[in-house]
Amino acid sequence: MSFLNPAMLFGMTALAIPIIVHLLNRRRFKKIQWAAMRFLQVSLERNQRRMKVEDWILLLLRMAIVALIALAASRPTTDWLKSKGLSSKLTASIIIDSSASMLRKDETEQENRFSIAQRIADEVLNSLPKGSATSMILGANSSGKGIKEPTHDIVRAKKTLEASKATHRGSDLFPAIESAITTLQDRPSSQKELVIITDGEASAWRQYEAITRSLDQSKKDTNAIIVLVGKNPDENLAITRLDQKTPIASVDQPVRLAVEVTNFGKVEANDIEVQMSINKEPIGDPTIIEAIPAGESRTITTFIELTDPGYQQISSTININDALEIDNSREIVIRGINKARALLVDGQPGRDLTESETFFLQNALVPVPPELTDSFFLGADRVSIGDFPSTSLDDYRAIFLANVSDFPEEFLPDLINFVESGGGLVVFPGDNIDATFYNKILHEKAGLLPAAFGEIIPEQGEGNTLIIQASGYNHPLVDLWNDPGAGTLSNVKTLKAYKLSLENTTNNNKATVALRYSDGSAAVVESNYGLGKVYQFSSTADTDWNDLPVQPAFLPIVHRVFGSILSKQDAGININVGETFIRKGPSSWIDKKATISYSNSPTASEISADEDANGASIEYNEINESGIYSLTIHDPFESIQFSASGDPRESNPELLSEAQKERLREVSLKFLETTDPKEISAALTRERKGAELWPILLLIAALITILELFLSQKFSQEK
Amino acid sequence: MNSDSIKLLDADTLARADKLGMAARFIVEGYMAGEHKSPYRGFAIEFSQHREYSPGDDVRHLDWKVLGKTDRYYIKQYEQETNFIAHILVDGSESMQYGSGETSKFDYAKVAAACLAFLIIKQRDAVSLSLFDDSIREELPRGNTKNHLFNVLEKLVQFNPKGATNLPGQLHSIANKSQRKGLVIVISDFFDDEEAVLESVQHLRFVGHEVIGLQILDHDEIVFPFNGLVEFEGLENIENLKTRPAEIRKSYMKEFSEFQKKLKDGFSRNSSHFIECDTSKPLNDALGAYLTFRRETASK
Repeated sequence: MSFLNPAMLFGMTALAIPIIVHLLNRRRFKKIQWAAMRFLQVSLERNQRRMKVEDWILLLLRMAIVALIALAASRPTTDWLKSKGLSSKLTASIIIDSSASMLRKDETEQENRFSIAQRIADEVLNSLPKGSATSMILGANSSGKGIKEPTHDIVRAKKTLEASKATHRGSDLFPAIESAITTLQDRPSSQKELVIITDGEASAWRQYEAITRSLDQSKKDTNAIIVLVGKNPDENLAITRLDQKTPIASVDQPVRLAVEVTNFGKVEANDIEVQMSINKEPIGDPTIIEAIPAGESRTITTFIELTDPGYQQISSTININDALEIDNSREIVIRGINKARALLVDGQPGRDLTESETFFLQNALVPVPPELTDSFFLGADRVSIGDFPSTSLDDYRAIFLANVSDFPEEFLPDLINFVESGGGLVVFPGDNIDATFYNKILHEKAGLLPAAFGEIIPEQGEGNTLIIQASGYNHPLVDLWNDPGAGTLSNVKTLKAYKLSLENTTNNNKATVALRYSDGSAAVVESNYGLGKVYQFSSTADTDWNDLPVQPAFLPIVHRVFGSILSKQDAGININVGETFIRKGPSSWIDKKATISYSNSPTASEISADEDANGASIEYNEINESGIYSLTIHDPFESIQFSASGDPRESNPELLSEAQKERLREVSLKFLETTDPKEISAALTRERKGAELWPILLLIAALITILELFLSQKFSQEK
Repeated sequence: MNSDSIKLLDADTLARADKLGMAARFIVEGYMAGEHKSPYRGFAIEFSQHREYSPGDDVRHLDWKVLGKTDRYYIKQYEQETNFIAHILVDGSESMQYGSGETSKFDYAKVAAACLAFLIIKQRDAVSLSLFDDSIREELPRGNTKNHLFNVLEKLVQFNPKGATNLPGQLHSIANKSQRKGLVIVISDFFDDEEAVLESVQHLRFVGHEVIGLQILDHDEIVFPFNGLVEFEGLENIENLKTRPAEIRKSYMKEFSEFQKKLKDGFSRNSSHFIECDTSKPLNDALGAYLTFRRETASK
């Protein structure tokens, strides 16, 4: 026998109460002088023994009542009585790992891990003593869905369990465990049970130390039962990356893609066919990877050509039929463009083209012979500063200001609207610029420029030059040069530049330094503005102040600048499962009806855009499966596709080590590796407290109370 | 009722006693005429003194001898003697102090004794008084004057009950001492050995006394109404008893009834009268019962 509330056993000291009452009663005798004592004496002699016996009976009964109530309050349990009705009710929290790895079907099993986990959870629900409460948390990379607060409605819990399904999310069990422990701690129940059903893959236990610490700390009042349903498979091949490498995906132009395939198995994989598809139509022959050693990855580079502009579904698939299907293919969405044009505003045209400020820019943007410029996917038109205000901006995706002194302030609203609507603005300084105009009007007033032009650097003198940083290229604009094979930017010499000051910036969009000089000062700064993007260079677009335009790096930098402007609107169309999809849009979207549908589901979710600082924003956080999704705005009609990719860590079948399991055994009440639900219920029944005796004790106390009342009434009758 | 002689003889009690006394006197005088068999012997009229005749006097009372010798008219005056002596014995033991209300049993006994004395003296019978516990504490020899009545009242008023009782002893003592037969009125709660009491009554009867037992009981002693936890403090140095009286009420009542029955049966066997007086009821019942007894006795 054990006690759920042993402190209440001190209530046994209340046994003294009937005795004290009895003794106090002796002092409460009413005194009466009496003459007819002889009759009393005879009566008492005749009844004394009986009255003493009656007194003892009543005293013992009263002490028994107190003892039984104190015993009942201490909630004794016994193992010899295993009755579901009498068993001590408990508060449970069941966490089912619903991550992608739970979709794995182990070799010896008929169903996938999640289905097994569901049957085990159902058995746990069935084994709960009557009156228990439970929560049902589907733990995958978050505190999960389901029933967070424990409910006594077990039928509801069962329905939730039945309706649940595994997601393609990654898994981190710690938030779910932490949340469940916190919830259980707030419950008054004396028996608390935390049941964790997972496959035991190490990725789900990535916060292993934090989990074991939490379980250990809560061990005194929460019994943890850990059930591992996963078995260590011998193989798993997965596509772990699919990336677009060409910055601008134009129609009829090759788009470079990188596909990474990883062998998570224990033996080498051979002859793996990687098939690319556009909009689910296979293109070309599959690429064959001859061999991938166990535990290693191989990346192939492949090219595709988009035949149509707009959103295109690109997928890669490997011809493997292994235990986890979902990682055998991977999708991304690419938006193809027909031709993108840039407007180059030349602040110093010069006498011939080669002397113009935009000469190098134009050649970098359209690096083809004149006869091919029309068919090239990028176009660049030069205008002088005088023509700039009268030029229609609708035909262009980006405006490059090269050493432009200033322009009429009346033109500013058009420029702001251009950028806010998704256009790009690239500013190069030079001798001609009116720094005050840029700083006061474009930077401070309009907030277009992310930085103010400061003093000229370096200090002018013989041999004083600025050098571009040699490594640590963190910004996507220049991350190409992290690969030593791509060359270096550190050989670019800059004789003169404006110091770009990011202080006192009024731009709502955070300014980021994309590239620095070796002395730490900013060489290129970028920021988002509305749906568009702004790049601000510190030096000229020609060779007056630096030699970058004649360096090989100039072309990729210009293309990347233009590419990032073009893809700005499409930022976030390729996300991971579990992330929130965010789409910025014009303010005309606000409160307009929109739907999001998943390619593998016939149903769509309604959603609406909310107002934000630069217009409207749509956010959707129910991305539970990998694949292609479509966002449709109905008025005005617009369809946007995006992809969600699974967490590659879910593809790694590596299980917890034996040492880690041993530690989990220590911090849990029961640690089981089984797929048999009966084994779970048997173990739980063994480990749980037996039947609670307090109802029986209270019933006996009530019966004794009735008996005591009856006897005290009977004993006090005239005799 | 307080121990106050005036209150003892309050108007109501006196009036009732007087009314009953008139009837009693009528019976006694009837026996004095000799026309009926009187239970009392030695009844006589003794000469007291002479006085001059005055017109209207009964000529039958003229002293003819004096008239013959002196030729003067003198009337003979006589002093009437009674042949009835009532011994009133009042129990003055501590147990008589008990009273659940304002009136203790002894208060009640004093009033009863006073009324009886008044009634008896008014009938020109003689009364003696004894107040006793385990021995005679106060005693008045017989008398039938108003002064004697006053003395009786005074003794009653002044007496303070204490000590244990020995009723049989006192009755035996009366039987042994009293040479002249009379009426013995015992006023007590009779809480004594009933066999010994009845034996002493038999002794009184044997020497020729008539006996009336006037048992004074408090109402609580008759019904034993107590509840809860009670410690009974015994009077007459009897050890205290703690009990739950409700639980022994039936047993008490049984004992008490058996005791009463023994007393009543014993008095009846001895041709004596036993009257149970409840202090919560008027004294008239007791006086009425006494006169009824006297009437019955006179008719024998």
